This record gives sequence, C-alpha cells and structure tokens, in this order.
Amino acid sequence: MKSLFTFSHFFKIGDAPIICALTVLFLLPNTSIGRAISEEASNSTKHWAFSPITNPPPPQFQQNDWAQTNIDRFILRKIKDAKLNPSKGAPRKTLIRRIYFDLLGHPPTYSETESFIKDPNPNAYLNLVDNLLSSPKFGEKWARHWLDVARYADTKGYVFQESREYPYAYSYRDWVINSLNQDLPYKEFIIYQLAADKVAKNNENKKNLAAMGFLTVGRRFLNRTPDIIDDRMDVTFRGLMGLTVACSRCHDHKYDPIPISDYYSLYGVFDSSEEPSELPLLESPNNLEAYNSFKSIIDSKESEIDSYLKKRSQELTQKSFIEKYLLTASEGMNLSADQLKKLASSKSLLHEPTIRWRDHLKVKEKSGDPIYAAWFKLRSVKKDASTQSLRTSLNDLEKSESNVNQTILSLLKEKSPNSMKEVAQIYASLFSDTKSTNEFHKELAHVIIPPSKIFPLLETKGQQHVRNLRRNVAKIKTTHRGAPAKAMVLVDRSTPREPRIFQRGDPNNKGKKVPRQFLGFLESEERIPYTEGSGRLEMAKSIASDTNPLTPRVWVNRVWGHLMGSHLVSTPSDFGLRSNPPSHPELLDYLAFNFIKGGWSTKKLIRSILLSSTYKQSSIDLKKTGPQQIDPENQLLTRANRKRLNFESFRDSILYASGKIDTTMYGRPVDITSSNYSTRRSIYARIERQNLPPVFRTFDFASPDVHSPKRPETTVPQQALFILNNKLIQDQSTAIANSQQFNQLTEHNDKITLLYQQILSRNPSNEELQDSVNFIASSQNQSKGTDANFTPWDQLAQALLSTNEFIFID
Amino acid sequence: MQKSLNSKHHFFTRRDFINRLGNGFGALSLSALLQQEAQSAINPLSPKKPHFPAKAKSVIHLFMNGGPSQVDTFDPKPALTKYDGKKIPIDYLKTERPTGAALKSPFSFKKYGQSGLEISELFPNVARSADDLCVIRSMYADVPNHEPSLLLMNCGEPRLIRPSVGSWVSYGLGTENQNLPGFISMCPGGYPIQESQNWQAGFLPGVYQGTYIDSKHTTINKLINNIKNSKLTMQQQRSQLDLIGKLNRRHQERRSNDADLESRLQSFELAYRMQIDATDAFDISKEPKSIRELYGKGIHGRQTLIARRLVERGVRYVQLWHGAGQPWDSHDDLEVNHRKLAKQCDQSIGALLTDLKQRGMLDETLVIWGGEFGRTPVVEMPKPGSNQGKINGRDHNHWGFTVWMAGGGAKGGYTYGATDEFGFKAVENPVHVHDLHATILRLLGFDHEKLTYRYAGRDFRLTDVHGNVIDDIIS
Repeated sequence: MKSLFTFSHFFKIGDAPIICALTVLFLLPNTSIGRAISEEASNSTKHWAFSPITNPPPPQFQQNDWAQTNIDRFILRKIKDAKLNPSKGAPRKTLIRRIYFDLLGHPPTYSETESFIKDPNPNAYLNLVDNLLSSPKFGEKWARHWLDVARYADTKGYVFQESREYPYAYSYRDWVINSLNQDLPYKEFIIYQLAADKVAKNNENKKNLAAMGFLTVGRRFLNRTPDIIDDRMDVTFRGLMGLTVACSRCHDHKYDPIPISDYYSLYGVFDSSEEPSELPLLESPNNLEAYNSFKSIIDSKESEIDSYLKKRSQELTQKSFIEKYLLTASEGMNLSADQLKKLASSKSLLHEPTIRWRDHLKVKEKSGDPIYAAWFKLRSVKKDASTQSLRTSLNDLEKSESNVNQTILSLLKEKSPNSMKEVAQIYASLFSDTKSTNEFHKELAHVIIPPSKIFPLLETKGQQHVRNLRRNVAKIKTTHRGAPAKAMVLVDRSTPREPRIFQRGDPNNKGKKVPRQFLGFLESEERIPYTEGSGRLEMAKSIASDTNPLTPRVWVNRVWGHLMGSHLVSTPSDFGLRSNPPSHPELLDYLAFNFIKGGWSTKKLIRSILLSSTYKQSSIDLKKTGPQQIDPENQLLTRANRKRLNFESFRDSILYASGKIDTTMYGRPVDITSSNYSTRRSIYARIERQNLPPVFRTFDFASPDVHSPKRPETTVPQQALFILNNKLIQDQSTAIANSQQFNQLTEHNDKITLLYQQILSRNPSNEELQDSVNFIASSQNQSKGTDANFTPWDQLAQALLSTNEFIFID
Repeated sequence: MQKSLNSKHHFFTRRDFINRLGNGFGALSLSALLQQEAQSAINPLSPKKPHFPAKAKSVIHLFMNGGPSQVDTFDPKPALTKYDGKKIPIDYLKTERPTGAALKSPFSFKKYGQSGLEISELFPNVARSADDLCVIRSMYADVPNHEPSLLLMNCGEPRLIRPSVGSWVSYGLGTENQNLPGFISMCPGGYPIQESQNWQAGFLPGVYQGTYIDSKHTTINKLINNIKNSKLTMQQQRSQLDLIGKLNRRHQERRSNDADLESRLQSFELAYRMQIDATDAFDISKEPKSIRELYGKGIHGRQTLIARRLVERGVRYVQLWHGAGQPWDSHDDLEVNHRKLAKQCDQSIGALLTDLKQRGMLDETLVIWGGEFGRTPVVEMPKPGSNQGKINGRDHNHWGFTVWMAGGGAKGGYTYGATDEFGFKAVENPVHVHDLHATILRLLGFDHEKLTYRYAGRDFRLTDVHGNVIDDIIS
C-alpha cells in the first residue's frame, strides 16, 4: 500500500504534495481517510478562511505622512516590523499609465498624459480615478479578468457530430462587460450567474438571463453529464469561493471539510437543472430589417428540416414502403435481430420499422389473424411459383375452413396477382388507404412514428443529412447579422432529481441518497435541504451571502491581485486548509468587511485600493541592499510591482498607438488571428477552445478549458517572433509612420518625437533622439529589404512597439 | 516566509531555484548563481535536471493513430491461422463493434537479428533493427474508442483536461535548445482525432504545449508561425534589434536591472537565432543524399528525418503522427490498408533507427512506436453505418496490444509480456498505459510520483495515482 503523504515535491521543497484521483479509494484503506478527515476537521474550525470575516482596527501611527488610507496602515505595519520603509509615490507620468492599464487596459494618449502631469488641481488623481472608473472601457478590461474565472469560450470543444459553436456565448461576455460597467453589486452578479432563470422574470431584467453563460459555456466532454456537471461545480466553487469541491467527487476531500456526500448534494442541484431546447431571446431585435431577413432564412432552413423529417415519417405509411417492409419482414421472419437489420439495410429500409413489421407479422401468424391468412398462405408457395399456383392457393384458401378476411380474399381474386410482390402491393394499397371507413388502416399503427421521433430511427445517411442541415442552422444563428442574441440559460427540470453518491466517482456505482443542500461545514448544525425546485437559487444565495466567509474574501483578493500585481492569498482559487495563509490577514478581512458594508460594490473596492499610497508607490528600487535582499518577492509591498501587459492589453495598445482601434462595443466574436484580422478590442476575439490559435497560448492567455485562477507569465522567443514578424505589428507600424500628421512633418527630430508620443506617450530624450536619427540614417543606406514599402520609419515604429517600456508598466 | 506559490512564476520561483542550487550544485560561484537564477527564474524552458541520471534525453513518439493490429505486426499468433474462420475458444471480449470468427494474419512473420524477434513482413526495414527493439506485447487501455484512448495514451486521462506526456516532459526537463520549441507535434495534412488536445498543456503554463506542425508543407513559414520576416533582410532586422537592445538596456539601467526585463531582452536575441536555427532544422536539403535516400521520399521520409534533426538540435519531445484523422483504423480491408500504411512509414522508421544508431544518438533518444490501442484477432462483423460490411477487417482492441520502444535505455532485442493464444487480451505481465508512462518518465530520469504540479488544490501527476515502472525493460 502506498502512502500518499510521503512524497516530497519536486520543485517545491518542504511543501507536502497533494495527490488524488478518481480511484484513490482503491489505494487507501478507509480508515486512513477517516483519520485524515477528522484531524483536518478539527483544524478546519480554526482555519482563517472559514472563520467569520472580522473588522480589524487599522494600526495607528504617531506621525506618518505616507499612510493616507487604512489600507496603507495595514501595509505599513508589516513594513515597519521588518525595519523597512515604503517607497515614495510614483511620478504622475507613471501613475497615469499604470492606472489606464489597470482600469481600461490601454495606454493614455500623449495629450492625456501631459494634461494630467500639468493639472494644478490637488484632486487631479482622484478625478482621474473617478473618470476612468466610469469609462465603458473599464468593463471591457475587467470582464476579461472575470472570463478567465469563467473559462469562457465561443465553442464547445470536441463533440462528435453536432455543431461546435456556442452561437450565443457572446451574450454572456457582453453581460459581464455591462454588469461591471454598471457596478452591479457583486452579490447580484453572482446570483444572476447561477440562477437568473429564477430571479430575472420580468421584462426589465430579462437581459440578466445572459448571466447564466457562467455555468453553460464550458467544455462538453463528449456530452458526458457527470463531467459537464463537475466542470460547472468547479467553476462555481473554485471561482466564487476558492474551494476545491471537485476534489470530493470520488472520496471525501483529503484536507478540506468537504465529504463526498456534500459533493453529491450539490451535484443534485446541477443535475436537477437542464438546458431548455429553445433558449430565451434576450431582447426584441433592434434592426428589424436584418432580423426579418434572418428570420426568413432560418424559417426556410428549419422548415427544410421539418419537411424532411415529415417525409421520412410519412414514408412508413405509404404504399410503396409498406410493400417493401411487408416483403422484407416476411423474408426475415426467422432471422436474429442483427441479421434482420442487415437484411433491412440491403433493401434500403430502416431497422426499427422492419423489426416492428416482423414482430407484428409474428403475432398475427400465431393468432391466425384473418387479415393475414391469405398472406401467409400465398407466402408458403415456392418463390418461383407461377401465377397458376398462386391462384390455386387462393382457391384452396377459399375452400378451407380457416378464418379468412373476405374483403381481402375477393380483392386478391379480382386482381389475380402474379407474384408475392403484387400480393404485397395489394395489401399495401389496402392498408395505406386513409379513408376513415378503411378498417385496414389500423394495421399500420405500429409504424406510425411522428416526425419528432423519427430522427434516431433513420439510417446513418439520413441522420447525417439532418445533422448537416442543423449545423447549417447553427451557423446561420452564429453568423447572420440579424440573428438575435439569446441567453444560454439553465432551467429547473420539472421534477428535481434526488442525488445519490457515485461511489469512487463512478456513475454506475450508486451509493446512498443525499438531499440537495449546501456545504455542511458552512451551515449551522441543522442543515435544511433545498426545497425550491433544483435549489439553485438557494445555493446561489448561500454563496452570495454576507455571512459566507469565503466569497467576499476570494473576490477582494482577486481584485487586489489584478491591481497590485500580487495577491494577498497566493492561491486565489484555493482558500482551503492547504493554501498559504494571507500575507496580510487583517488587511484581507478589512477589505472584505468594507466590501460587504459598501453594498458589494466592486468599483468602490477598486477605488479604495487605487487611492492608497501603497498602490501609488514607485516600482523603481535602485538600492542594492535593503528590501530587494530581505523581501525579493516584494511580499511586504515596499514598492509597486512592475507588471507586464497581458495578451489583450498588449494587442489593444498596438492598435491604440496606430489609431486603428475599432472601439465598437459588444456583439459576436471576431477573428483576430487571420491575415484579414479585426481591429476590435481583444475582449471580442473569438475563443475557439479546441484548437486555440497558438498566439493566445504564446502570450499566456488563460486556458479556456478549465477555470483559471491566474495566468502564468512566461517569456519565450515565440513572443518576440510574433512581435518581429507578425503582420499585425508590421501593419500597425506602417500605419503609425504614415499617418497624415506624420507625413506633414519634415524634420527628423519632429518625426521621431511624434512616434515617441504616439507609442510611448512621451517625448524622447536627447540620447534617444540621436539613437533614432542614427538608425534612420544607417537604414536608409542599407540595401533595400524584401519589401521596400516597409520604410526605416516603419521599422523605427516597430522597434518602439517592441521595447520593454511598451510592454511593462512601472 | 513561505511563498513558493505566490510568485508570478508560480511554477518556478527564484527561491526554489536557490533551494535547488543549494541541494544540487553547491559549489557554483555567486555570480554564476545569480546569472543562472536570472535566467532560470524566468525562462520556464531552461534545462533542468531530473531526479535521477537519465537514460534518455529526448523522445520521438511515432504515433500510429487509428490503432495498428498487433497480430499483424509484432505479436505473431499461429493459433489464429489454425482457427481461421472459426470461433475462437475463449470468451469474446467486448469491443466497439460486433466481431466474428478468427481472422488469420494475411502477413507472414520471420525472426530477425540475434534476438530472433518476430516481426511481420509489413516492417522489413524496422526489422533490421530488431536487436534494438523492446516490444511490449501486453499493453492494455480502458475502452475501445478512439477519443478516450487517444487522450489516455497522450495525457494519461481519457476525458478530463490534463497535460500531455510531452508537456510534462518539457515542464520537468526544459529544453536543450532555446532556439527551437521544446515539444513539437507533427501531423501531415491536418489533425488527428481529438486534435490539439493530444498535445495540450492542460493546466500547465501554455509554453509547455506542443507546437503543432503540418508536415505536409515544405516551406518554413508554413511550418512555423512568424518564423520569417516578409519585410526585412536579416541584416536590416539585426540593426532593428540592435536599436531595440539599446533602448531596452537604457530602460533597464534605471530599473535596477530587473531580471524580467533582462529576460525579455534576451528573448529577442533568441528569436533572432531561432529564425536561422529553425529554418535550418527543417531544411532536409542540408542532409547528404545518402541520408535522404535512406529515409525515403514523401511525407514520412521527410518528417522522420526532420524529427532526427530536431532531436539532434536538442528538442526534447517530438511526436510524429501517421496522418490526419485515424489512418490505421482498418475496420475493412485490413490487408490492403495495413500493407499500404506500413509501406508509407516502414522505410523511414527503419532509417531513423539505423541513423540514430550510427550517430551514437540512439542511446539517448527514446523512440516509441504504437497507436492508442490495437485491433481484434477476430473479424469485425458488418454494422451498417460504421463499416463497409466487407468482413475482412478488425475492430478496435484495448484489451491487448503492442507498443515498442527503442533506444533511450530500453532493453534491445527484447519482448515483454504476452497476449493470450490469439492476441486478444494481455495476460502475461500486462502493462497499462499508466505503467508505460511511468516507465517513459523513469527512462527520462523521473520518479513519476514526484514529477508533480500543484493545481486546484492538488498535486497532479501524469500517472495520477497509478503506474508502475516496468524495470524489466530498462537496460
């Protein structure tokens, strides 16, 4: 038996590793699990993240000009304890750039920078903060942070046959942007995302239905329900509460107080919810002409599907088909199901109706049904029988004692069939007659299959045909300009499902029943099972509750991390017993407490951080000794962290510098990687999760496959290759060095200055002017490149876009 | 202060680096240490040492996607010939589709080399290296379907998001040549089933993801993104880089030479060299004629020769897929199809083994051959819509199949494990895919239980909680 507690971690010496798997119970005797849980359980009551949020008093200082806000007082306490000092404030030119990127995700222009630097108003910074917080671009920047949490993508990933598109994923992305811009209280932000179907009922807040994309834009895992639900639970609990609930899928959580029964209690909530076949419209279409054109196309495509299915359904009761089925079913009277299916395929007939006909005939043969008496009699005649012998058989039948339907007998005699095929035709025309007086029509009851049920019975080719038509419909819904947005909602099933534990995570190994209810360790002694439908709204309210110790802490920690470049809790999506404690526990609680007090306002939270001296510090630490040595990771925040632009901000900044940025908000995703790329902001880029274009990964984009706690930050030559050789940068460099304003200039120095202003929002130093002048001169002397139109000025613009100054924020 | 996870480079912090240096190379001078620290703390692909001395330094994985038949290639079963057309006297195991009587192999087997390893007529060129092959005849997987089996073979998990073997290896070892991607996956003409998921980085940082290359192409700018500048000559670009370097240095001096800034500056120099090195690595016209002829004409000859050139240049993990979709999936016309497929790749694989050996590279290069599963020894029965009903092919078989390895510390001229009399199920020394992974990592110098990555509150590993190293096949 392996012990799972003795591995030493490869890279992280001193950290105990945490290994688990779907089948861990195979390896561990139950007793050891039980012991581990009970030991941890006693710790868990004391665990900082599970304890109620307190309101710690800020440390007091006798005289200190640096600490301007309570945040600073918490920070300064630790700095002082380490016998260090904080850094002075960053200059305004640095501050404006920092705050633009942190709030809007793009740089300030040269003139915005200059006017801020020169602003005599003592409240200049405050005003800037408030202005930027009310910019609609704020939502575009911060939505992307949230979409990392929500593992957003515009496609489903690998699926077998159906369309891979999520035609309406963008409605969720747009909802996030808008909600952040409106400063929708975070509490409601959560509740809508988990249960908008229960609360957004009137016309006014119907648009909030789009919020539920949070749950539904995940991967489809080959449509395997337990995996889809696990992904939704993971995004919910790791994303909102920093709890690795998914660890309890197969066994009790090894460290946190989450038993497997709690996992399935919550699983039941999700399993009692379903995606409706028709998603709700978000709003009435605003461009009626486009909508009508869409509607007429979609209607005609959908009616094509309907009429095909109708045709295939009606075939089964048509004369020519009845004839074939009768003959084939008779031929296969004694075949096994598999053999009969093969026979049916060889005659281009459907399996299920053939089997039904055969079974029908068997019953009729056994019961001696008069309707079929002639059929079986004639069938017994040898295959190559002459007309004569058929006729003889009919005569025999007439004379015999057996019970024969006279209508059929006389019809047969009258028509005098020459073959079994003709006999079948006679039967078929009799059966297929739909006149209400026709008593024989009821013989088709077993093959009356409505169009809505015919699809699964069709042969592969037919199914393929329908799938193609459906994929085409999905495509039109994704691409037609008039296609209205819909909300990717979940709704409660008409009857909630009573969850049972899947032992070892295996859906085929069901254990005891558990009620749908919230996590035990966060509830009072008497846990009350959910009563309203699936319980999703009740669950959402438990998560977004003033008394939930995790939700506010997790969110303020995320916000802090985005603004400060490092988190207070280093594992932003794991606040469990194995996480590192916060670097500043009192500050975390102070922020969380005031966040709740402030009505769960994200903008107020951000504002309070931005106004702190801690945020406004310089990032430059020139001292060779001191903080760098004592605190190389800058955990004490004795200076600001230098940050690097993420993929979206980097790409947007290039387009802002060139002036080519298309600032249209909202709508369908756009392609940003082809040679004919869109110049919309990167938040609107289409995210194809199955084969994500390499540029996203190269620039550390969050994996759209799973909830992403924070992005890795890597430096690899592929990034530089993109910057040096990709068409996007070349095009924008050319655009910058060929603007009307640029072309009007004649002096080198003026031209260079303009490039610096447009790209780096500042003027060049004399040294820099000289470097650029030299570069232009030597480049002009060099032999022409592959493309003479890419001038030395274009090359200079590209060089400035490539600098560290462009991509790092002090 | 414990802060191993709080760094921006949370997978590899400076402090960890110093800790590791302390344990590993204590005698390095301070300046060397700081210099290495600056590089390694930031470059996630800088070379790293594994747990033990490694046998293999790099891997070439020849992926026969679709599932080649073991009884027609490396696992001869005379009993099948005896029972040809008859029901075999064992319990039929469930595979994807209905199966029928025994189907004898249409190919003859012969003994090769001093070891007398038995190989079918499909692989005469591979057979010449029989004494270097370590044939595992007792592989097994979990289910008889392509999608989950591909993910299991590549990522150790049939459904959920997990990093691929190549990503784990790049994460653990870095790469020897910063001018080339560390993990390259080549597939001519498109993607295999499950597409890029086969070389995904999962929750590992994106830099460890396999770089996909459509080896159908021959020009470098179609093979690697952004590798060529369409506007500037190398000389012009050099001047531009010199300017960028100058501006960056000046910027950096005022910022106490922040290692992040230095690292990004260096990455431009790497990129510049990568343009030359990558172009060179993919240019097989640089090989002598005799070598090109050894590998053969066509896509397989070319991509296999490129694989050798990449490994030679320090690329850590190269995966060569047979082709887009699932070429080896011979549900019908097995004889015709397997003959055609083997003909496409036998010469180049044989050449690779010979060539690696003659260069002295085989010892340090682990070559792996196999599919996501094998095929049934019994014939596949007609199933409308899923085969052509010709009754001359084989169904998927995850119960028992063959994977072979060569070089990189694998025991040559050796067979390990066995399937039953008919080749249906692994019965002797069965080797699960997890065991194969544990063994691959062992050959690369890792304890598969200790190569972990913390994510979502757990330390994940390639083998999850499974996997036993097969010591027997390690030379």
